[in-house]
Amino acid sequence: MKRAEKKKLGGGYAFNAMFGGYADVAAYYHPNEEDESIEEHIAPDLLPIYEKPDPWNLRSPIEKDFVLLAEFSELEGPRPVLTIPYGTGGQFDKNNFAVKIMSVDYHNISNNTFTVSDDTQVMILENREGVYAYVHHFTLYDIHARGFVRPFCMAYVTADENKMLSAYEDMLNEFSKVSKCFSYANKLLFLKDIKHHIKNLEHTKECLQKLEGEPPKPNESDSTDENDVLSELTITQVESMIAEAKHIEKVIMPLLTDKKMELKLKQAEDRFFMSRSMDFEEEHEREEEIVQEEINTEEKKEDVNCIKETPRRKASVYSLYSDYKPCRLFDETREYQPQILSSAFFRKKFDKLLRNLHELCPWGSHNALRRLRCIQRYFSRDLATLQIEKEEGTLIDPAAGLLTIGRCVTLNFMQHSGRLADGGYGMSLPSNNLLRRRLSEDTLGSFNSSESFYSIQDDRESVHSGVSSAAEVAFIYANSSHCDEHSPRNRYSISEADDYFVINYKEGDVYEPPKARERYLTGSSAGTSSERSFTTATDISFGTDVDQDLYTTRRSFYDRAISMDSNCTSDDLISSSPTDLESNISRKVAVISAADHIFSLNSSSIGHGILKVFQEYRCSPEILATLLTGRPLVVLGGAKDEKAVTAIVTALWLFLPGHTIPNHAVVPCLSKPKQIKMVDLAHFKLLGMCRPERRTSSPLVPSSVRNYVSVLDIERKMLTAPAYKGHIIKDIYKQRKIFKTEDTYIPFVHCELLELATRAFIYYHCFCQKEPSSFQDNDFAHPLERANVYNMKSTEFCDTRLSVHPGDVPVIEYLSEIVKMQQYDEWARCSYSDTLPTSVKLDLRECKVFKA
Amino acid sequence: MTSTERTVGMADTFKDCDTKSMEDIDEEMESLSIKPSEDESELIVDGFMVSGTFTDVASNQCRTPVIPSFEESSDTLVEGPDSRAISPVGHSLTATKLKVSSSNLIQAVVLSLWDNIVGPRILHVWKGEACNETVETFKYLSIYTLNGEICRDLTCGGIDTKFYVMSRRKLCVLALIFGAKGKCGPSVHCLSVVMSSNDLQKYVTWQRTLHAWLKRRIAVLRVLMEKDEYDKGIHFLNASINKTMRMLQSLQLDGLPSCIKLEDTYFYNEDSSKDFLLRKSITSHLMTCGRSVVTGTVDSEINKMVSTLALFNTSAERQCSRFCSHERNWPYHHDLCVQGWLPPSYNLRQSVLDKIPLGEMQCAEYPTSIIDVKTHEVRQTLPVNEHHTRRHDFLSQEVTHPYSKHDVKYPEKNILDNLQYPENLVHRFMKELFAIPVGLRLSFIQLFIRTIERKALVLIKSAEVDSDQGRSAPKTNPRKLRQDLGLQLEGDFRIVLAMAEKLKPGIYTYLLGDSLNHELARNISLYSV
Repeated sequence: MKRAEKKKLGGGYAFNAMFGGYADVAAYYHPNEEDESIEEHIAPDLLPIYEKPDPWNLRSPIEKDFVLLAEFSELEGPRPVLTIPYGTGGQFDKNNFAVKIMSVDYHNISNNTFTVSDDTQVMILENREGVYAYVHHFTLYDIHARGFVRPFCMAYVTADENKMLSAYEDMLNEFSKVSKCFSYANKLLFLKDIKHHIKNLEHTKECLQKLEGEPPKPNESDSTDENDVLSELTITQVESMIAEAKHIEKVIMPLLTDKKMELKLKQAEDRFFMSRSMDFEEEHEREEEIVQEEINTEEKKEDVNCIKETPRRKASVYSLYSDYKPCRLFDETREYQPQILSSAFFRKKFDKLLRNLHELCPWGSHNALRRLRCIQRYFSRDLATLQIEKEEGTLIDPAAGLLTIGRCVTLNFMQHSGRLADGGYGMSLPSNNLLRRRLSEDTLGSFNSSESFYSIQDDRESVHSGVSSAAEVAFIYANSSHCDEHSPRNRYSISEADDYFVINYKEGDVYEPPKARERYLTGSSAGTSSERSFTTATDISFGTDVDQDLYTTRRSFYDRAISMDSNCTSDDLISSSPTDLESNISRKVAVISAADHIFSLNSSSIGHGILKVFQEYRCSPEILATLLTGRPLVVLGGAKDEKAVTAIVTALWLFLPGHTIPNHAVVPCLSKPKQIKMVDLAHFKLLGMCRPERRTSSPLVPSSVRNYVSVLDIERKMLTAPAYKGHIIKDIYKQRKIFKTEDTYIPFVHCELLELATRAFIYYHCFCQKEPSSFQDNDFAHPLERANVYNMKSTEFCDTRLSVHPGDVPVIEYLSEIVKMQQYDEWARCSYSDTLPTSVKLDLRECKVFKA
Repeated sequence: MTSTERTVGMADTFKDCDTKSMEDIDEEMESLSIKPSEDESELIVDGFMVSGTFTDVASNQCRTPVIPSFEESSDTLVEGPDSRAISPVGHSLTATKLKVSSSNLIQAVVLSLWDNIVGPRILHVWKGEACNETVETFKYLSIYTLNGEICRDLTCGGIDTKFYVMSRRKLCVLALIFGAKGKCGPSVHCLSVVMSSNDLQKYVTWQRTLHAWLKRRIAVLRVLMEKDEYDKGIHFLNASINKTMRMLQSLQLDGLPSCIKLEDTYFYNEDSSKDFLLRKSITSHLMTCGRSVVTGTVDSEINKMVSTLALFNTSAERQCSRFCSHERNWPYHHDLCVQGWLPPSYNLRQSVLDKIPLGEMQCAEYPTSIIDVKTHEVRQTLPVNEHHTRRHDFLSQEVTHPYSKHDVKYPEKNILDNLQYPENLVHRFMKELFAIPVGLRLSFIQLFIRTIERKALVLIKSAEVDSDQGRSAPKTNPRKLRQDLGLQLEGDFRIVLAMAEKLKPGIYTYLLGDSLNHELARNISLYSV
């Protein structure tokens, strides 16, 4: 009966009590006393736990995500080996956690013969503790270990459950790659060991057979280990051991088929030993140091926090390093000299320390650890960043349609094109008419100073090389290891070998920002500055922006890593000499997602110091308008203002649309400035310059150029730029008072810029794609007339359809123009399979002088 | 014959092809009233002692041939700790055979516990027909999942989740670990859901829903076990697993594609008669973090709205969404993103609100919008912060109600908000959308979502800076925050807030407070902006 009633209620038919208002709702909400008495019968721990929303995961013992590497030591049981980054984990009990994750025999295989176990993965979600982890178990093989196995695991530990759930699949993929790095090198070594072991066994067998033939020597005085062994072993025992070893060899052999991986490992090894043999005497000590240092930085540092808890262990680990010798995996030249079996193989001595990770996986471990560091950097970012970056990753293609502002992905004008079936309005490439506009008279006709235009050719070491090379800095920073090409350490050490291993991983790793930048800016780097490769927008990846500290691995880390793994054949690899790599990478443009920018703001981020600039310059709307309409801006400072100039350029970069080379270059500050030539206007959009201490007769910005650039003179606190009459930029500028910190103001700017770009998106598709094609050349007596009609229609469209003030129309037009130019370049590249000369967009407008 | 001396079969209680307006959990509790069946039989499958009645399942499923159902096993209550469960070293155990499509995500379910004497021990196995795993595998799984949990503190509740990928065995296992009272006192239990490793992708897409479903049911199971109602617990699990599998089946059969064609939505051709409904629906859908139920009488209309709303969800969320189907007639399932729902015996005199399973909606992680394409009514459950506390209360009530003198208090209809918040975001969006060519619309929708996302980022960052990442009390009040962000309109603010909640779970409650009274006070000040 009661059940029936309940059913009725459950069906929603019996709702007698109607709530009259919030008070009633509140009464409903708080259980009355009777209810409480009933609930006493149920233990409180059986009731669902109320989890108060905790957006910043403050309840968790984990402050920052980290990677923990643990092993099941046959001497000590489960133990943490290292944490990445060093010293993280806070209050979190890593030993306990290691015990927990390593306690299960994850490789439980019932048969008694040797088999290779696959990796297993576990995702652990412990709501009570606030600990969420992805754990990847893998087994390494060691000839000296019990059962020949050394179980290890890697765990990514975080306090954010949502991150764990949403990133689980990516983690699974990435950790599998790391595991492969460890395992493959390890298996090669193990196979080598096993082969040697078989030889040893066969040699021992021969010795035993010999001994059997000889009469026993009763009073043997020199009882060596060898004799001990021989006296303890029988031929049958040795034969069974040989059979076992051969079985292992048979199991391992077919697994080693990845020639690509082998080649990489071999290259790493060769590079290391080549340097050694080249200058052995001199280098020997230093190489030892390098190896030592590598280990120390990779493991010892990270290891200490786990190890310091037991001093004994600490000592033991260091003693391991002292006799670490880089081993040769691929040395085919020297024949192995078989020895009589060591007693250690059949009499386990548990006081002997086993090989460490580097010894177990020669040449593979460094790369694996590097990958782990990248994984940690990538996933330790905010959940929002990861989610948005994933979504925005799809905006990169097609590259010609991508619009970025301040190097952040804003939107793609050409997405979803052709997605619709017949009948829909699909997006198309701009009409020929639109493409022709690029070389129209109104741009080319305004060259009034041929002298300044051509002068660049007479001056090979002119500012031009500085500008273009500096522009490339932004995009090839990932490649900055080439700056250190002549440094023997980088050239021959394992780290560099690994750079070739996974191109993308080098981004954050071998990288020295100030040095690299200096080199490029002063034009002293021989390699890249002389090359003027025309980089189009086609190779774009989420990467690093020039001033970022690259502490985060970006999207490219994934995409390229994946493409490396899936697409590269071994042939690709062989041919990838440093120069090939260089030319490949220099064509890549690094962009970031706005979310990443917002959540990783630091003193070197683009846009840092923008509020300070606004505070100092009341004419900021004009400065921003200059950037957003594509007029080059020169920030001029005194001889000692280099820092200030760089800071202003970095701050203003936030508002600079476009990312292609060589059209949208940003130069933080030229330390050895030369006079700007007309042709340079084609390349840079934002340029910092310091006046030389000794005044020269020719000004840095000659009067002919001055007509086409805006100049912000920070010494005189003056801006020469066209007046801005619109609203949008003023509104953005005004909001600085509301968002008092950059942490909140920059997200707001991104928000506004996206809205602005949305207007441009509609303008581009609904106006640019239609209107110009309706113009017939015959309709107009003079090209200027056509331009006027076009401008009128454009302003009208912006006003009526987009509610954009006429003063803001140039901004909308310029944003569309960028995409148009990218498409034009793309079209030209496809049509002529070569690059066309860069055109100069000259913006001749009446300028005013504003006082800051 | 082994431990199962006599069996009492249970007729298949899950003939619910036509939707009952009952609450789901009630149905599952209903299954506890077991009546002995006359038709008893036993079956040995792979060394399992499977016992139960074999009703003609096919005849029950004339309308829904693919719906999973059980052939139920149940034992007489033979006392003694080993009457129905054996240790991993034993050779027989009780099991229930699941009649389920081989394509279902769940292949088998194992309930095991950590016995203080013999270690990991299987209590019951539910095994799908297509599942080829042997008893050894299940024993291995119970060891595998329970090892490492020996030191678990049983005094504090909570259900932990582990997900294993075992490539060698080609298996994935979702293990829910919880403390419950066994025959010999409290011990660690584990409910393992066995899946094929080929289905990893499916699991990843549906994992949140699956976790929510199973955790809700385990909470009830724990109480049943506490009250020594072991058999009821097993039968309850039977029903629960059945329901869960049915829900998964519905996603598989009528799930949304990850990419939606514009032709299938209301955005392809402008229909001015739908404009108002569309605007209201999108507003509400965005306010409820992209969770909606679309109802009506004609399935094509419902599905068109489902596709339209799903454009505002991520592709992962779309895979957790479902069309309605006239043939299969799925009931409402909580924790799906967008779902079409055909209410049973819909007639115009009765409001669809009378049929809505409000209790079920209360169990979902997020609030839900209810969109009636027939009457153009759009309603939504309480906002995120209130919903969160209410949800907890309701789930607690669900756990206690079998032992309470009082009936479950289901949420009233009037908690449904009729949605009269003024907003401008969606209004402007729609105006612009219909003015641009069809080819651009998908991009434009994506742009709109990204604009909201960026606004949400400003909100998150502001809250973060304002409170030093939650370490100190917020200095700015939400009213000021709204003004700063230009979100004076209540609708706009809630849309952005809901997006922020998706990007930074918990921020909604952090900003607006989690207790109802507190919320009231704050809300009043908010409304008066």
